[in-house]
Amino acid sequence: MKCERCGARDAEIHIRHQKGKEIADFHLCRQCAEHMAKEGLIPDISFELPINSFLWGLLPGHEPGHPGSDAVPSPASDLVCGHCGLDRSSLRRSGSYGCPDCFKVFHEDLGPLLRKIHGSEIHRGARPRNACGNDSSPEEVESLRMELRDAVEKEEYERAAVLRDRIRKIGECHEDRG
Amino acid sequence: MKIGAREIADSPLEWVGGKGEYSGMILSSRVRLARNLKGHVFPWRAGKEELADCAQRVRSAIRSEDSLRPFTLFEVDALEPLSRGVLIEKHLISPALARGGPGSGAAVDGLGVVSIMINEEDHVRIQAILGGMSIHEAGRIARRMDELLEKLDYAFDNRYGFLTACPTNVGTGLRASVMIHLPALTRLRRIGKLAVDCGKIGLTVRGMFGEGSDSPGSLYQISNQVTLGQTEDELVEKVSGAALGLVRQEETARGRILAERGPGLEDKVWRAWGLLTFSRVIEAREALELLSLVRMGSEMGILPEVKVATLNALLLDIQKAHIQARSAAELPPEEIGRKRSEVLRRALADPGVES
Repeated sequence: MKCERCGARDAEIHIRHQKGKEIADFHLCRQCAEHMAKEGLIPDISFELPINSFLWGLLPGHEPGHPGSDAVPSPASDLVCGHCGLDRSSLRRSGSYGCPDCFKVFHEDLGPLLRKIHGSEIHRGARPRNACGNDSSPEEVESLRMELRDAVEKEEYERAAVLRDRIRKIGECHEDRG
Repeated sequence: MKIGAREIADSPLEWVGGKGEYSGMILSSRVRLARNLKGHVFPWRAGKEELADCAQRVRSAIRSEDSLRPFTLFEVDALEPLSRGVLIEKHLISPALARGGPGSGAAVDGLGVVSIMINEEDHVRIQAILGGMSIHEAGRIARRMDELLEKLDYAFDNRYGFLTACPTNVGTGLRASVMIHLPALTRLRRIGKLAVDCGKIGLTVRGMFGEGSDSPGSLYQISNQVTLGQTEDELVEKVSGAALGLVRQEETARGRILAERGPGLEDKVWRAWGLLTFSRVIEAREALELLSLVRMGSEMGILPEVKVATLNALLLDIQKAHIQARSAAELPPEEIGRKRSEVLRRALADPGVES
Protein backbone atom coordinates (compact mmCIF):
# COMPACT_ATOMS: atom_id res chain seq x y z
CA MET A 1 0.00 0.00 0.00
CA LYS A 2 1.27 3.46 -0.88
CA CYS A 3 1.19 6.39 1.53
CA GLU A 4 -2.04 8.31 0.98
CA ARG A 5 -0.38 11.65 1.53
CA CYS A 6 2.64 11.54 -0.77
CA GLY A 7 1.54 8.60 -2.90
CA ALA A 8 5.20 7.76 -3.44
CA ARG A 9 6.55 5.82 -0.47
CA ASP A 10 5.08 2.68 1.09
CA ALA A 11 2.61 3.22 3.90
CA GLU A 12 4.29 1.97 7.05
CA ILE A 13 2.10 3.57 9.66
CA HIS A 14 -1.59 2.84 9.98
CA ILE A 15 -3.62 4.97 12.33
CA ARG A 16 -7.26 4.64 13.23
CA HIS A 17 -8.43 7.86 14.82
CA GLN A 18 -11.77 7.62 16.56
CA LYS A 19 -13.54 10.72 17.73
CA GLY A 20 -17.09 10.15 18.93
CA LYS A 21 -18.71 8.08 16.24
CA GLU A 22 -16.42 9.22 13.44
CA ILE A 23 -13.56 6.96 12.53
CA ALA A 24 -10.79 8.21 10.29
CA ASP A 25 -8.15 5.85 8.91
CA PHE A 26 -4.73 7.10 7.87
CA HIS A 27 -2.21 5.05 5.95
CA LEU A 28 1.01 6.96 5.86
CA CYS A 29 4.69 6.62 5.31
CA ARG A 30 6.90 7.41 8.27
CA GLN A 31 7.87 10.80 6.89
CA CYS A 32 4.34 12.02 6.20
CA ALA A 33 3.11 10.63 9.53
CA GLU A 34 5.76 12.57 11.35
CA HIS A 35 4.89 15.70 9.38
CA MET A 36 1.23 15.40 10.25
CA ALA A 37 1.87 14.62 13.91
CA LYS A 38 4.08 17.68 14.14
CA GLU A 39 1.30 19.76 12.67
CA GLY A 40 -1.17 18.32 15.15
CA LEU A 41 -3.35 16.69 12.49
CA ILE A 42 -2.94 13.18 13.81
CA PRO A 43 -2.18 12.13 17.38
CA ASP A 44 1.41 12.69 18.31
CA ILE A 45 3.12 9.33 18.50
CA SER A 46 6.83 9.37 19.01
CA PHE A 47 8.58 8.73 15.72
CA GLU A 48 11.93 8.81 17.48
CA LEU A 49 13.87 10.90 15.00
CA PRO A 50 13.71 14.65 14.55
CA ILE A 51 12.45 15.48 11.10
CA ASN A 52 15.62 17.00 9.76
CA SER A 53 17.90 14.16 10.67
CA PHE A 54 15.16 11.89 9.44
CA LEU A 55 15.37 13.45 5.98
CA TRP A 56 19.09 12.91 5.99
CA GLY A 57 18.54 9.30 6.97
CA LEU A 58 16.84 8.74 3.64
CA LEU A 59 20.05 9.33 1.78
CA PRO A 60 22.29 6.43 0.82
CA GLY A 61 25.33 5.83 3.01
CA HIS A 62 23.52 6.82 6.16
CA GLU A 63 22.22 3.69 7.77
CA PRO A 64 23.53 3.52 11.30
CA GLY A 65 23.80 -0.06 12.47
CA HIS A 66 23.05 -1.44 9.05
CA PRO A 67 25.25 -4.46 8.44
CA GLY A 68 28.08 -3.60 6.15
CA SER A 69 27.60 0.15 6.41
CA ASP A 70 30.83 0.56 8.36
CA ALA A 71 32.77 -1.79 6.17
CA VAL A 72 33.44 0.71 3.38
CA PRO A 73 33.83 4.16 4.90
CA SER A 74 32.76 6.78 2.41
CA PRO A 75 35.64 9.08 1.51
CA ALA A 76 33.24 12.00 1.82
CA SER A 77 32.33 11.26 5.43
CA ASP A 78 35.06 13.46 6.90
CA LEU A 79 34.25 16.51 4.79
CA VAL A 80 34.48 19.80 6.65
CA CYS A 81 33.40 23.22 5.38
CA GLY A 82 36.48 25.42 5.25
CA HIS A 83 34.51 28.58 5.96
CA CYS A 84 32.25 27.73 8.89
CA GLY A 85 33.84 24.48 10.10
CA LEU A 86 30.65 22.43 9.80
CA ASP A 87 31.40 18.74 9.32
CA ARG A 88 29.24 16.21 7.63
CA SER A 89 28.03 14.46 10.77
CA SER A 90 26.97 17.76 12.41
CA LEU A 91 25.20 18.67 9.20
CA ARG A 92 23.29 15.43 9.26
CA ARG A 93 22.52 15.80 12.96
CA SER A 94 21.32 19.40 12.81
CA GLY A 95 19.82 19.26 9.33
CA SER A 96 21.02 22.82 8.76
CA TYR A 97 23.80 24.26 6.64
CA GLY A 98 26.28 26.55 8.33
CA CYS A 99 27.05 29.04 5.56
CA PRO A 100 26.69 29.54 1.79
CA ASP A 101 29.96 27.65 1.16
CA CYS A 102 28.49 24.48 2.71
CA PHE A 103 26.32 24.13 -0.39
CA LYS A 104 29.48 23.60 -2.45
CA VAL A 105 31.35 21.49 0.09
CA PHE A 106 28.46 19.09 0.67
CA HIS A 107 27.13 19.25 -2.89
CA GLU A 108 27.18 15.49 -3.27
CA ASP A 109 24.25 15.00 -0.89
CA LEU A 110 22.51 18.21 -1.81
CA GLY A 111 20.85 17.25 -5.09
CA PRO A 112 19.24 14.05 -3.77
CA LEU A 113 18.22 15.81 -0.56
CA LEU A 114 16.57 18.72 -2.36
CA ARG A 115 14.76 16.35 -4.66
CA LYS A 116 13.42 14.45 -1.65
CA ILE A 117 12.19 17.64 -0.07
CA HIS A 118 11.09 19.70 -3.07
CA GLY A 119 10.83 17.20 -5.91
CA SER A 120 13.31 19.38 -7.77
CA GLU A 121 16.82 20.68 -7.38
CA ILE A 122 16.71 23.60 -9.76
CA HIS A 123 15.61 27.10 -8.89
CA ARG A 124 13.16 28.65 -11.33
CA GLY A 125 12.14 31.70 -9.35
CA ALA A 126 13.40 35.25 -8.99
CA ARG A 127 17.08 36.10 -9.22
CA PRO A 128 18.90 39.07 -7.75
CA ARG A 129 19.70 41.58 -10.50
CA ASN A 130 23.42 41.21 -9.87
CA ALA A 131 23.31 37.40 -9.83
CA CYS A 132 23.29 36.95 -13.59
CA GLY A 133 25.62 34.03 -14.27
CA ASN A 134 27.75 34.86 -11.25
CA ASP A 135 28.70 31.34 -10.33
CA SER A 136 28.14 29.59 -13.62
CA SER A 137 31.47 28.08 -14.48
CA PRO A 138 31.77 26.18 -17.76
CA GLU A 139 31.78 22.98 -15.66
CA GLU A 140 28.44 23.91 -14.19
CA VAL A 141 26.89 24.50 -17.59
CA GLU A 142 28.33 21.18 -18.69
CA SER A 143 26.87 19.42 -15.65
CA LEU A 144 23.49 20.99 -16.41
CA ARG A 145 23.76 19.69 -19.99
CA MET A 146 24.55 16.20 -18.72
CA GLU A 147 21.61 16.36 -16.41
CA LEU A 148 19.40 17.51 -19.26
CA ARG A 149 20.45 14.50 -21.29
CA ASP A 150 19.71 12.25 -18.32
CA ALA A 151 16.28 13.83 -17.82
CA VAL A 152 15.37 13.38 -21.49
CA GLU A 153 16.53 9.75 -21.41
CA LYS A 154 14.40 9.09 -18.36
CA GLU A 155 11.50 10.92 -20.04
CA GLU A 156 11.32 13.39 -17.14
CA TYR A 157 10.24 16.20 -19.41
CA GLU A 158 9.22 18.67 -16.77
CA ARG A 159 12.69 18.53 -15.24
CA ALA A 160 14.21 18.67 -18.71
CA ALA A 161 12.33 21.87 -19.54
CA VAL A 162 13.60 23.54 -16.38
CA LEU A 163 17.16 22.53 -17.19
CA ARG A 164 16.86 23.76 -20.76
CA ASP A 165 15.58 27.15 -19.59
CA ARG A 166 18.39 27.42 -17.07
CA ILE A 167 21.09 26.66 -19.66
CA ARG A 168 19.52 29.15 -22.05
CA LYS A 169 19.41 31.81 -19.33
CA ILE A 170 23.08 31.36 -18.43
CA GLY A 171 23.92 31.64 -22.13
CA GLU A 172 21.98 34.91 -22.43
CA CYS A 173 23.71 36.28 -19.35
CA HIS A 174 27.14 35.65 -20.84
CA GLU A 175 26.12 37.26 -24.12
CA ASP A 176 24.84 40.34 -22.26
CA ARG A 177 28.14 40.65 -20.47
CA GLY A 178 30.31 39.98 -23.47
CA MET B 1 14.43 54.35 20.66
CA LYS B 2 12.75 52.73 23.68
CA ILE B 3 9.27 51.42 22.93
CA GLY B 4 6.96 50.05 25.60
CA ALA B 5 4.74 46.97 25.40
CA ARG B 6 1.58 49.06 25.44
CA GLU B 7 2.68 51.16 22.51
CA ILE B 8 3.47 48.01 20.53
CA ALA B 9 0.09 46.48 21.45
CA ASP B 10 -1.71 49.65 20.28
CA SER B 11 0.23 50.01 17.02
CA PRO B 12 -1.81 49.22 13.91
CA LEU B 13 -1.84 45.90 12.08
CA GLU B 14 -3.23 46.27 8.59
CA TRP B 15 -4.91 42.86 8.24
CA VAL B 16 -7.04 43.40 11.34
CA GLY B 17 -9.08 46.05 9.46
CA GLY B 18 -10.68 43.23 7.47
CA LYS B 19 -10.07 44.65 4.01
CA GLY B 20 -9.52 42.29 1.13
CA GLU B 21 -11.78 39.72 -0.47
CA TYR B 22 -13.41 36.98 1.63
CA SER B 23 -12.19 38.68 4.80
CA GLY B 24 -14.93 36.91 6.79
CA MET B 25 -13.35 33.50 6.33
CA ILE B 26 -9.85 34.42 5.23
CA LEU B 27 -8.41 36.47 8.04
CA SER B 28 -5.01 37.23 6.58
CA SER B 29 -2.60 36.49 3.74
CA ARG B 30 1.12 36.41 4.40
CA VAL B 31 4.21 35.99 2.25
CA ARG B 32 7.68 35.65 3.70
CA LEU B 33 11.05 35.49 1.98
CA ALA B 34 14.19 34.01 3.57
CA ARG B 35 17.51 35.60 2.57
CA ASN B 36 21.13 35.41 3.71
CA LEU B 37 24.18 37.55 3.17
CA LYS B 38 26.85 36.31 0.81
CA GLY B 39 30.07 35.22 2.51
CA HIS B 40 28.56 35.18 6.00
CA VAL B 41 27.99 32.25 8.32
CA PHE B 42 24.27 31.59 8.96
CA PRO B 43 23.00 32.91 12.32
CA TRP B 44 22.75 29.54 14.11
CA ARG B 45 26.47 28.95 13.53
CA ALA B 46 27.79 32.48 13.63
CA GLY B 47 29.78 34.02 16.47
CA LYS B 48 28.90 37.21 18.31
CA GLU B 49 30.91 39.51 16.07
CA GLU B 50 29.62 38.08 12.84
CA LEU B 51 26.02 38.32 14.10
CA ALA B 52 26.54 41.94 15.07
CA ASP B 53 28.20 42.67 11.72
CA CYS B 54 25.36 41.11 9.70
CA ALA B 55 22.75 42.95 11.75
CA GLN B 56 24.64 46.20 11.21
CA ARG B 57 24.65 45.67 7.44
CA VAL B 58 20.95 44.91 7.32
CA ARG B 59 20.10 47.87 9.53
CA SER B 60 22.10 50.31 7.46
CA ALA B 61 20.60 48.91 4.24
CA ILE B 62 17.17 49.64 5.72
CA ARG B 63 18.23 53.06 6.99
CA SER B 64 19.76 54.09 3.66
CA GLU B 65 16.58 53.38 1.71
CA ASP B 66 14.25 56.38 1.65
CA SER B 67 11.06 54.37 1.42
CA LEU B 68 12.10 52.24 4.42
CA ARG B 69 13.00 55.20 6.61
CA PRO B 70 9.66 55.31 8.45
CA PHE B 71 10.21 51.73 9.65
CA THR B 72 10.68 51.24 13.38
CA LEU B 73 13.79 49.22 14.19
CA PHE B 74 13.74 47.01 17.28
CA GLU B 75 16.66 45.35 18.94
CA VAL B 76 15.26 42.25 20.64
CA ASP B 77 17.70 42.33 23.58
CA ALA B 78 16.62 45.89 24.34
CA LEU B 79 12.96 44.89 24.65
CA GLU B 80 11.39 43.73 27.89
CA PRO B 81 9.89 40.20 27.80
CA LEU B 82 6.34 41.57 27.68
CA SER B 83 7.06 43.63 24.54
CA ARG B 84 8.51 40.54 22.89
CA GLY B 85 5.36 38.63 23.83
CA VAL B 86 3.16 41.28 22.21
CA LEU B 87 5.25 41.22 19.02
CA ILE B 88 4.92 37.42 18.88
CA GLU B 89 1.15 37.60 19.33
CA LYS B 90 1.03 40.11 16.47
CA HIS B 91 3.14 37.74 14.34
CA LEU B 92 5.63 40.55 13.74
CA ILE B 93 8.45 38.44 15.17
CA SER B 94 8.75 34.69 15.68
CA PRO B 95 9.18 32.98 19.05
CA ALA B 96 12.67 31.94 17.86
CA LEU B 97 13.70 35.53 17.22
CA ALA B 98 12.21 36.65 20.54
CA ARG B 99 14.87 34.62 22.37
CA GLY B 100 17.23 37.41 21.34
CA GLY B 101 21.00 37.34 21.14
CA PRO B 102 23.59 39.51 19.39
CA GLY B 103 22.06 41.42 16.50
CA SER B 104 18.57 39.91 16.80
CA GLY B 105 16.13 42.52 15.69
CA ALA B 106 13.24 43.52 13.49
CA ALA B 107 12.04 46.45 11.42
CA VAL B 108 8.31 47.09 11.19
CA ASP B 109 6.50 49.60 8.97
CA GLY B 110 3.97 52.11 10.30
CA LEU B 111 0.88 50.31 8.95
CA GLY B 112 1.74 46.88 10.31
CA VAL B 113 2.07 45.28 6.87
CA VAL B 114 5.79 44.56 6.59
CA SER B 115 8.17 43.13 9.12
CA ILE B 116 11.82 42.41 8.42
CA MET B 117 13.39 40.02 10.92
CA ILE B 118 17.15 40.18 11.37
CA ASN B 119 19.26 37.19 12.44
CA GLU B 120 16.43 34.75 12.84
CA GLU B 121 17.06 31.33 11.28
CA ASP B 122 18.35 33.28 8.27
CA HIS B 123 20.01 36.71 8.22
CA VAL B 124 16.96 38.37 6.71
CA ARG B 125 13.31 37.33 6.74
CA ILE B 126 10.95 39.69 4.98
CA GLN B 127 7.24 39.26 5.53
CA ALA B 128 4.16 41.11 4.33
CA ILE B 129 0.70 40.46 5.85
CA LEU B 130 -2.58 41.83 4.48
CA GLY B 131 -6.24 41.16 5.29
CA GLY B 132 -8.54 38.75 3.43
CA MET B 133 -7.47 36.98 0.25
CA SER B 134 -4.62 39.31 -0.70
CA ILE B 135 -1.85 36.78 -1.10
CA HIS B 136 -0.76 38.03 -4.53
CA GLU B 137 -0.52 41.60 -3.28
CA ALA B 138 1.35 40.45 -0.15
CA GLY B 139 3.77 38.65 -2.48
CA ARG B 140 4.31 41.80 -4.53
CA ILE B 141 5.02 43.86 -1.42
CA ALA B 142 7.47 41.28 -0.06
CA ARG B 143 9.27 41.16 -3.43
CA ARG B 144 9.46 44.96 -3.54
CA MET B 145 11.10 45.01 -0.10
CA ASP B 146 13.38 42.23 -1.28
CA GLU B 147 14.53 44.26 -4.26
CA LEU B 148 15.21 47.27 -2.06
CA LEU B 149 17.46 45.15 0.15
CA GLU B 150 19.13 43.29 -2.72
CA LYS B 151 22.11 45.62 -2.48
CA LEU B 152 23.05 43.63 0.63
CA ASP B 153 24.40 41.05 -1.81
CA TYR B 154 22.44 37.92 -1.04
CA ALA B 155 23.80 34.38 -0.93
CA PHE B 156 22.44 33.08 -4.23
CA ASP B 157 23.34 30.12 -6.38
CA ASN B 158 22.38 29.84 -10.03
CA ARG B 159 21.25 26.29 -9.61
CA TYR B 160 19.74 26.21 -6.12
CA GLY B 161 18.50 29.78 -5.86
CA PHE B 162 18.56 31.68 -2.56
CA LEU B 163 20.60 29.74 0.00
CA THR B 164 19.09 29.23 3.44
CA ALA B 165 20.19 27.49 6.62
CA CYS B 166 17.47 24.87 6.37
CA PRO B 167 17.24 22.96 3.07
CA THR B 168 13.43 23.16 3.27
CA ASN B 169 13.61 26.90 2.44
CA VAL B 170 16.20 26.83 -0.35
CA GLY B 171 15.24 28.21 -3.77
CA THR B 172 12.68 30.97 -3.62
CA GLY B 173 12.87 31.12 0.19
CA LEU B 174 9.17 31.87 -0.11
CA ARG B 175 6.45 30.73 2.24
CA ALA B 176 2.96 31.93 1.33
CA SER B 177 0.30 31.33 3.94
CA VAL B 178 -3.33 32.12 4.46
CA MET B 179 -5.07 32.15 7.85
CA ILE B 180 -8.53 30.71 7.35
CA HIS B 181 -11.55 30.15 9.60
CA LEU B 182 -13.23 26.79 8.96
CA PRO B 183 -15.75 26.18 11.75
CA ALA B 184 -18.29 24.14 9.74
CA LEU B 185 -15.67 21.87 8.19
CA THR B 186 -14.18 21.39 11.67
CA ARG B 187 -17.62 20.46 13.04
CA LEU B 188 -18.10 17.96 10.23
CA ARG B 189 -14.64 16.54 11.04
CA ARG B 190 -13.36 17.13 7.56
CA ILE B 191 -10.08 18.83 8.40
CA GLY B 192 -7.94 15.68 8.67
CA LYS B 193 -9.02 14.55 5.22
CA LEU B 194 -8.57 18.04 3.73
CA ALA B 195 -5.08 18.19 5.23
CA VAL B 196 -4.21 14.92 3.51
CA ASP B 197 -5.53 16.28 0.19
CA CYS B 198 -3.54 19.48 0.63
CA GLY B 199 -0.44 17.41 1.40
CA LYS B 200 -0.78 15.66 -1.94
CA ILE B 201 -0.41 18.95 -3.79
CA GLY B 202 2.48 20.20 -1.66
CA LEU B 203 0.55 22.31 0.84
CA THR B 204 0.56 22.14 4.63
CA VAL B 205 -2.46 22.70 6.89
CA ARG B 206 -1.69 23.64 10.45
CA GLY B 207 -3.77 24.81 13.42
CA MET B 208 -3.16 28.48 14.22
CA PHE B 209 -3.36 28.18 17.98
CA GLY B 210 -1.81 25.30 19.86
CA GLU B 211 -0.88 21.92 18.46
CA GLY B 212 -3.92 19.76 19.23
CA SER B 213 -5.59 17.80 16.45
CA ASP B 214 -8.38 20.36 16.44
CA SER B 215 -7.23 23.93 16.51
CA PRO B 216 -9.08 26.10 19.04
CA GLY B 217 -11.25 28.62 17.23
CA SER B 218 -11.19 26.54 14.01
CA LEU B 219 -8.39 28.72 12.63
CA TYR B 220 -5.93 27.11 10.26
CA GLN B 221 -2.93 28.14 8.25
CA ILE B 222 -2.51 26.86 4.69
CA SER B 223 1.01 27.21 3.28
CA ASN B 224 3.33 25.84 0.62
CA GLN B 225 5.69 23.03 1.67
CA VAL B 226 7.99 23.26 -1.30
CA THR B 227 10.14 26.32 -2.06
CA LEU B 228 12.34 25.09 -4.90
CA GLY B 229 11.58 24.22 -8.52
CA GLN B 230 8.57 26.49 -8.90
CA THR B 231 8.37 30.22 -9.43
CA GLU B 232 7.14 32.61 -6.74
CA ASP B 233 3.95 33.20 -8.72
CA GLU B 234 3.26 29.49 -9.05
CA LEU B 235 3.72 28.93 -5.32
CA VAL B 236 1.49 31.86 -4.38
CA GLU B 237 -1.13 30.80 -6.91
CA LYS B 238 -1.23 27.30 -5.47
CA VAL B 239 -1.91 28.57 -1.95
CA SER B 240 -4.46 31.02 -3.29
CA GLY B 241 -6.28 28.33 -5.27
CA ALA B 242 -6.42 25.97 -2.30
CA ALA B 243 -7.64 28.72 0.05
CA LEU B 244 -10.44 29.72 -2.33
CA GLY B 245 -11.37 26.05 -2.71
CA LEU B 246 -11.60 25.78 1.08
CA VAL B 247 -13.81 28.88 1.21
CA ARG B 248 -16.27 27.17 -1.15
CA GLN B 249 -16.15 23.92 0.83
CA GLU B 250 -16.72 25.80 4.07
CA GLU B 251 -19.73 27.57 2.52
CA THR B 252 -21.19 24.22 1.48
CA ALA B 253 -20.50 22.77 4.93
CA ARG B 254 -22.27 25.72 6.56
CA GLY B 255 -25.29 25.12 4.38
CA ARG B 256 -25.26 21.50 5.40
CA ILE B 257 -25.03 22.03 9.16
CA LEU B 258 -27.73 24.70 8.93
CA ALA B 259 -30.03 22.23 7.14
CA GLU B 260 -29.21 19.34 9.46
CA ARG B 261 -28.96 21.03 12.83
CA GLY B 262 -30.58 24.44 12.32
CA PRO B 263 -32.24 25.06 15.71
CA GLY B 264 -29.33 23.45 17.57
CA LEU B 265 -26.83 25.61 15.71
CA GLU B 266 -28.82 28.76 16.31
CA ASP B 267 -28.94 27.98 20.01
CA LYS B 268 -25.19 27.33 20.13
CA VAL B 269 -24.38 30.63 18.41
CA TRP B 270 -26.63 32.65 20.70
CA ARG B 271 -25.23 30.89 23.78
CA ALA B 272 -21.75 31.79 22.57
CA TRP B 273 -22.87 35.40 22.27
CA GLY B 274 -24.37 35.22 25.75
CA LEU B 275 -21.20 33.86 27.31
CA LEU B 276 -18.97 36.37 25.57
CA THR B 277 -21.11 39.33 26.61
CA PHE B 278 -21.99 38.26 30.16
CA SER B 279 -19.18 36.15 31.58
CA ARG B 280 -16.95 37.63 34.26
CA VAL B 281 -13.92 35.34 33.90
CA ILE B 282 -12.90 33.57 30.70
CA GLU B 283 -9.93 31.53 29.50
CA ALA B 284 -8.32 32.19 26.11
CA ARG B 285 -9.23 28.82 24.65
CA GLU B 286 -12.90 29.15 25.53
CA ALA B 287 -12.98 32.72 24.21
CA LEU B 288 -11.48 31.57 20.90
CA GLU B 289 -14.11 28.84 20.54
CA LEU B 290 -16.94 31.24 21.32
CA LEU B 291 -15.59 33.95 19.01
CA SER B 292 -15.45 31.34 16.27
CA LEU B 293 -19.16 30.57 16.75
CA VAL B 294 -20.04 34.26 16.83
CA ARG B 295 -18.02 34.92 13.68
CA MET B 296 -19.79 32.12 11.85
CA GLY B 297 -23.18 33.11 13.28
CA SER B 298 -22.70 36.69 12.17
CA GLU B 299 -21.73 35.63 8.63
CA MET B 300 -24.66 33.18 8.39
CA GLY B 301 -27.18 35.78 9.51
CA ILE B 302 -27.98 33.94 12.75
CA LEU B 303 -26.73 36.94 14.70
CA PRO B 304 -26.94 40.56 13.57
CA GLU B 305 -23.68 41.44 11.88
CA VAL B 306 -20.61 41.86 14.05
CA LYS B 307 -17.86 43.76 12.19
CA VAL B 308 -15.00 41.63 10.89
CA ALA B 309 -12.54 44.24 12.18
CA THR B 310 -13.98 43.91 15.72
CA LEU B 311 -13.66 40.12 15.64
CA ASN B 312 -10.14 40.27 14.17
CA ALA B 313 -8.97 42.75 16.80
CA LEU B 314 -10.35 40.54 19.57
CA LEU B 315 -8.21 37.60 18.43
CA LEU B 316 -5.22 39.71 19.47
CA ASP B 317 -6.71 41.67 22.34
CA ILE B 318 -7.73 38.56 24.31
CA GLN B 319 -4.21 37.14 24.28
CA LYS B 320 -2.13 37.19 27.43
CA ALA B 321 0.64 39.61 26.50
CA HIS B 322 -1.84 42.09 24.98
CA ILE B 323 -3.95 42.06 28.15
CA GLN B 324 -0.88 42.39 30.35
CA ALA B 325 0.57 45.20 28.20
CA ARG B 326 -2.58 47.27 28.61
CA SER B 327 -2.73 46.94 32.40
CA ALA B 328 -1.10 49.46 34.66
CA ALA B 329 0.36 46.82 37.00
CA GLU B 330 1.38 43.22 36.43
CA LEU B 331 -1.68 40.99 36.69
CA PRO B 332 -1.73 37.68 38.57
CA PRO B 333 -2.95 34.76 36.37
CA GLU B 334 -6.52 34.72 37.73
CA GLU B 335 -6.88 38.45 37.02
CA ILE B 336 -6.06 37.91 33.33
CA GLY B 337 -9.22 35.83 32.83
CA ARG B 338 -11.25 38.60 34.45
CA LYS B 339 -9.64 41.29 32.31
CA ARG B 340 -10.19 39.18 29.21
CA SER B 341 -13.94 39.04 29.89
CA GLU B 342 -13.95 42.82 30.27
CA VAL B 343 -12.16 43.26 26.93
CA LEU B 344 -14.75 41.04 25.25
CA ARG B 345 -17.74 42.75 26.87
CA ARG B 346 -16.48 46.18 25.97
CA ALA B 347 -15.71 45.32 22.33
CA LEU B 348 -18.96 43.44 21.74
CA ALA B 349 -21.19 45.94 23.53
CA ASP B 350 -20.54 48.40 20.72
CA PRO B 351 -21.91 46.56 17.68
CA GLY B 352 -25.13 46.33 19.72
CA VAL B 353 -26.87 43.10 18.80
CA GLU B 354 -30.61 43.39 19.38
CA SER B 355 -32.60 40.22 19.86
